[in-house]
Amino acid sequence: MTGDFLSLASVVGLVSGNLILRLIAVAIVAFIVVSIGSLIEIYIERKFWARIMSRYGPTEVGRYGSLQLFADAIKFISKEVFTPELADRTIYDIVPVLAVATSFVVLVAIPFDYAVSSLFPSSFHPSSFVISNFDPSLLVAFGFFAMEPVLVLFGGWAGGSKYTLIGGFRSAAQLISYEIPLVLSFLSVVALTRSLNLFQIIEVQSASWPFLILELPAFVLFLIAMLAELERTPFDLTEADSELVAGWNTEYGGSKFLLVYLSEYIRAFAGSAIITCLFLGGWVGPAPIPGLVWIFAKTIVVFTVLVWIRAAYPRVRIDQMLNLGWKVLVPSSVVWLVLTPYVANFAVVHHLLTL
Amino acid sequence: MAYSEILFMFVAGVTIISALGVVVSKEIVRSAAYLILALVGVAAAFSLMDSLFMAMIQLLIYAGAVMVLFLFGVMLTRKEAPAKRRRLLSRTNLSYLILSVVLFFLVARSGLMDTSVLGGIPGPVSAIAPSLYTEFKGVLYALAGLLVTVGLGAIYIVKKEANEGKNA
Repeated sequence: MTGDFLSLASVVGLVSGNLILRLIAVAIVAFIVVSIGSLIEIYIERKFWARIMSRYGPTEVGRYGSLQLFADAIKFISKEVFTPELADRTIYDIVPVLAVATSFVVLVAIPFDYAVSSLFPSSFHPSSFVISNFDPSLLVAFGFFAMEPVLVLFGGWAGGSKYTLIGGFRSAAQLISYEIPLVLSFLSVVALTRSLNLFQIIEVQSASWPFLILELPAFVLFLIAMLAELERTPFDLTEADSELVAGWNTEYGGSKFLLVYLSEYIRAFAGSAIITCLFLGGWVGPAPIPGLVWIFAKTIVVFTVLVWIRAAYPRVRIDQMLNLGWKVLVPSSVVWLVLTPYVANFAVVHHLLTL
Repeated sequence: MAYSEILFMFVAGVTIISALGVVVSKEIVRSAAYLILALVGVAAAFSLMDSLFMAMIQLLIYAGAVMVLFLFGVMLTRKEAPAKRRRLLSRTNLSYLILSVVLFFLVARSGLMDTSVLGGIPGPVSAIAPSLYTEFKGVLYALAGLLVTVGLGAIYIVKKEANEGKNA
């Protein structure tokens, strides 16, 4: 036993001493977390949504249809890999890969690695192992989040079909116009904590209240903007089936469609995790349950709420969507940003900033 | 040579090659793709120089937002670049020459004389705001005025067209 423990400790020492090995370790952690997360997400999407609509959802494969996702994945992979005749081959092939990669990079900024490493004994000490605790980590998350419209435009253009092109334009217009209220509403959290570090934002929340309470308007605005950024149902006119077939990814099939689909769910997972960290206190929770369970469960709950909204609301029209974005969300998030200092005084959070 | 230097060389190489690709590429959407690659390369170079803030601003604003506006224009035109050979003494080549001389002097200036970090404060991101809002507030006011003017002008133009559309 002792020998095993020593070798484990030396491996940890080696890994925590080397930045590249640490990055690889964190990437593996993020990969496992996001794989489990997306599986649970897609299952919730299928089953919970079906139950709301008085359907059963998947029932055949595995108990309660739990293995349906694996069957779907095998089906996608075993299909023919093809390229449409009019497609721009290079861009068409590279867009799904980049979509998954940029969605995945967002997770580096989210402190899942802290939650995982705090499960282990002190040789895995968080400070020597955690990579997500760096200064503008929130900005890193949104920097890579903002790469999506470019990829969507290229994907839609490279498909070589008019439906994908129109879908790409719609997607990009929506993503661009909702990025502004998204950033403005998280800016009020940044103004409150005086930090762009998600780690520090969670620590301030653990010492005061979750920002869901202090920043309720910002939370609502952020949730709506995030729904639009994830192109989920009230705002899924980019995929309006009756008009545009399936939006910008119409021409993708087989394993390339699997990648596109996966990137959407990774983005949804990352978006829910960002909401969890910004407004719901991240890994902090009232009961003595490990932080990993808290942050993971909160993320899944946020995603379930998104599915719920998807089931409950009809799709908006494009003019309603743009009006909501520019005439409601942007002005109200600016007003709330101006009001934030008063909230800070009221809640007396500034003395906590010397943590 | 440290691995970060090798990485920087690689990133710089990719940036330069894709910058060349912007000019050389025959198809205009391909040029835009190369431009995005160049901008992402600049962001990567920033992050390798320990300036993650600048890198992410570069990604968020230029690669994410400005390029989307470019692409909207470019993809709607679908025009290919002219295929015929240019004369050596054309206006285009003259503008390339002037631009490269200006760029050469810019690079030489930053290489020969010492340039300073914004406000002379190297350090955390939080040091940017005080420097920006005190030392450089004149520049900030000028930029704000310019942006407001541009915004008002855009609204004016759009309003005018909307009114004309109603009358017609």
